[in-house]
Amino acid sequence: MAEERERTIREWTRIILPRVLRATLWGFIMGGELLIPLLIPSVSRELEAFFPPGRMGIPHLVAIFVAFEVAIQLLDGTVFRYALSMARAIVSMISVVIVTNGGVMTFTMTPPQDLQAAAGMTIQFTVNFEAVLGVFLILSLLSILKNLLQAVEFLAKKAEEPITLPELP
Amino acid sequence: MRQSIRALGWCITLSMLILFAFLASAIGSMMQVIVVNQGIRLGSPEIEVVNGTMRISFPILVNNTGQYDISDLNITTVVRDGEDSIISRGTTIIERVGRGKLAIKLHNVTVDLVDLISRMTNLLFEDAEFKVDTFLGLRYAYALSFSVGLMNQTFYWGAPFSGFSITRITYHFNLTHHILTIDYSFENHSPMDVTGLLTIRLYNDRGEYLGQGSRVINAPHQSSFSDSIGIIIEKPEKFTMSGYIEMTIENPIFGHVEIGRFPYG
Repeated sequence: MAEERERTIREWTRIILPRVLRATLWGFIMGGELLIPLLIPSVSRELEAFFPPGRMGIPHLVAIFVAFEVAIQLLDGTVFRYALSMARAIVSMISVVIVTNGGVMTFTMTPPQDLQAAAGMTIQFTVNFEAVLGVFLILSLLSILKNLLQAVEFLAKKAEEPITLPELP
Repeated sequence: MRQSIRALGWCITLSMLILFAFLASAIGSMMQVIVVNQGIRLGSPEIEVVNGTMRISFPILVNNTGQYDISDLNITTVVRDGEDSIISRGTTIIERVGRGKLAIKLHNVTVDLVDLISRMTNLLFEDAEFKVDTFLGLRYAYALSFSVGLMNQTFYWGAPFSGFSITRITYHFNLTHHILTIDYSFENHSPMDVTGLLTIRLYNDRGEYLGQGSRVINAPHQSSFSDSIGIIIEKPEKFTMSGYIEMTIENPIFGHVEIGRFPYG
C-alpha cells in the first residue's frame, strides 16, 4: 500500500488551476458577460434610470448568480457543490420575485420637455409576466429537488467507497 | 437513480430553454408588432355634439403582424376636472386579435355637457384645462400583459361665453314705449357655434320684474360676438334706473341655460 504523503505546491496548482479556469469560464457563460456592459458609463447611467442605486436590480441578481456559479465550479467533486446549487436556486427564486416585484414591473417616464402637448404628462409602463414567473419558480423548485437527489446519491456513493486504513507498524 | 436524476436534469434544462425561447420570441414578436410595424394605432379624434352630449371618438386599429395572438386589449380614457373629479370615463375592449388579423373598433368618450355646465357654470365663461388619462392594456401570447398609461394629458376647454360683459345700457322713450337697450359682447372659444334664443329679463333694484326681450344669436366658434337687445319696460313707474338683468339661452346643444345675473345702473 502506497504511503500517504504531503502534496507539493506543483500538485496543488495542477488541481486548483483547472478549477479556477473552469469557474471563470462558467461564471462568464452563466451571466458574467451581462455585467460587462455595466462597466460602460453610458449604459450604466441608462440602467440607473430603471433601477435606482440602493435598490436591488438585475445587475445585483446577475452578480449573485455568477458568484454562486464560480463557487460551485471551485467546489466540484464535493457535496458542497449540490448544497450551493440548491442555495443558488433558492436565492435566485427570492431575488427574481423581489427584483420583478412579483412579476409586475412598472416604469414611469417623463416625455421630452420639447413636446408642448406633453407638459406635465407622465407615461406609466407596466409589464405583467406573473405566468412566466410562475413557470420559472416551478422549474427552480424542480432544480432544488434534482440537486437534493444528486447530493443524496453523491453521499451514498461516498459511503460505499472502501476506507483504506494505514497499516500498523 | 442516476438515470432518473439525469432525466430530471434534462427535463429542467429543456423546459428552461423552451421558457426563455418563448419569452424572447414573444417579446421580439411584440416589439415587431408595436414598434416596427406600428400595429396598434389610434386614429384622429372626432368631436360630435348631439342633444347636450359631447362625444369624442377615435378609431383603434390593431394589425397583428406578430407570431402570437393579442387578447383583452382595452383602452380606457378618464377625463378629470381641475379638482380631480372624474367627468367622464370611456372603455373599449377588443377581446381577441389573432395572428395575421386586423381589428378596428371605435373608442368613445362622452361628456354630458348639460350636467357638466349645471355643476360648473363657470365653464360657460372661463376657459379651463381638463386632465385626461389614457390607459392601453393588452395581453400578448396569453402570457404577458402590458399596459401603458398616459397620465395628465391636457385637454383645453374653450368657454362659449368667454369674457361675457354688458358694454353699454341706454334708456330712451319713443313716445309709446320706455325702452332699455343692452349692448353685450363675448368671445366664443368653444369648438362649436353658439346659436339659440337669448332672453334678458329686467328687474329693478327692489327685484321687481320690469320686462324682457329676446333675440336669436349665432356666434361662430373661435370668434368675437357683440349684439344688443332692446327691452320694453312694461311697468315704467317701477323703473329705478338700476337693478339687475337675468340672461338665459335656449340652445340646441346645452338646452335651457341660465347664463347669470348682471347688475346695471
